[in-house]
Amino acid sequence: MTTARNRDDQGIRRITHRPGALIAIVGGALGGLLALVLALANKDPVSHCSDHHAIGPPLNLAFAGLCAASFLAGGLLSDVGQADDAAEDAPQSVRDRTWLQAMVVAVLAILFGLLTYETYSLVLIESNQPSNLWPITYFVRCLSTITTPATIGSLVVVCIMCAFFGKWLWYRPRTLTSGTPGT
Amino acid sequence: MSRNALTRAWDFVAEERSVSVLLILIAVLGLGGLVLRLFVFQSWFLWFWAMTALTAFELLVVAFWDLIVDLRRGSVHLVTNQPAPWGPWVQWSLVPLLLLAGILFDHFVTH
Repeated sequence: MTTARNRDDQGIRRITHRPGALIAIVGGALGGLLALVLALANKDPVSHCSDHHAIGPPLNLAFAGLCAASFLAGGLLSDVGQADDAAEDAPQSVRDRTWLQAMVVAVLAILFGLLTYETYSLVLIESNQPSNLWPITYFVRCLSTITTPATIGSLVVVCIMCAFFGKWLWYRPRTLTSGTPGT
Repeated sequence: MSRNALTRAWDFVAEERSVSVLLILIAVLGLGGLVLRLFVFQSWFLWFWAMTALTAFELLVVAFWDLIVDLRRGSVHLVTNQPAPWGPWVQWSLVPLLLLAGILFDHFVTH
């Protein structure tokens, strides 16, 4: 019991000592909240979009450019203070490694499910079949064209998502200044 | 290409399991993409999204294989934990390049 509590305390301390992790948690929570508010405030956004296309120029370039910039920022900013990561790159126990692998499988299973849903819902719309399934990307493509606040809000949400992708999906081999080098 | 170079390339692929798995995945992706484009999706836009789902499925299969190996205390992981055999700049540039290609394709080809 005490050991479990100590481990929790250690985990919380590790997060609070790492600004990147705090920003990720707070940013993720705010992004999720904003996405929820936008979705609730604009009921049935897909039916408001006549052509089902993304926002036009020049704002589409702003979306693409800011997404790329957020991706780079998320990745590069997470490298700041890399020496602090040495402890996390230490050799893992077999149990921890198995749990980590199971989490990778779970995340990839969710990703596969979402992409399959996206493809299927797009197929239904493109073939003009009646459907209540909204493609996930339409929350950005269509929602961003409805009102100015929705445009700004959706831009913030996609930037946060891209920053997360840059932090977690962009593999960058590092040379650690202390501790055991990661593999 | 000389026979010697071919032999060296084959030895390299056989030794680096992650590389051979990557080549197999790319081959399956290419073949699957061709079949999907020719027989299922006439629209580049729908084909693009179907390919993302296929890629995710391939990654899921590899991760699931490695999880089974972990659980059974085996040794044949598809993704090894050895340092990659190519330079760090290749690893650095891989994801941004793919992301840029995806954005350009999505913005200027599928619409």
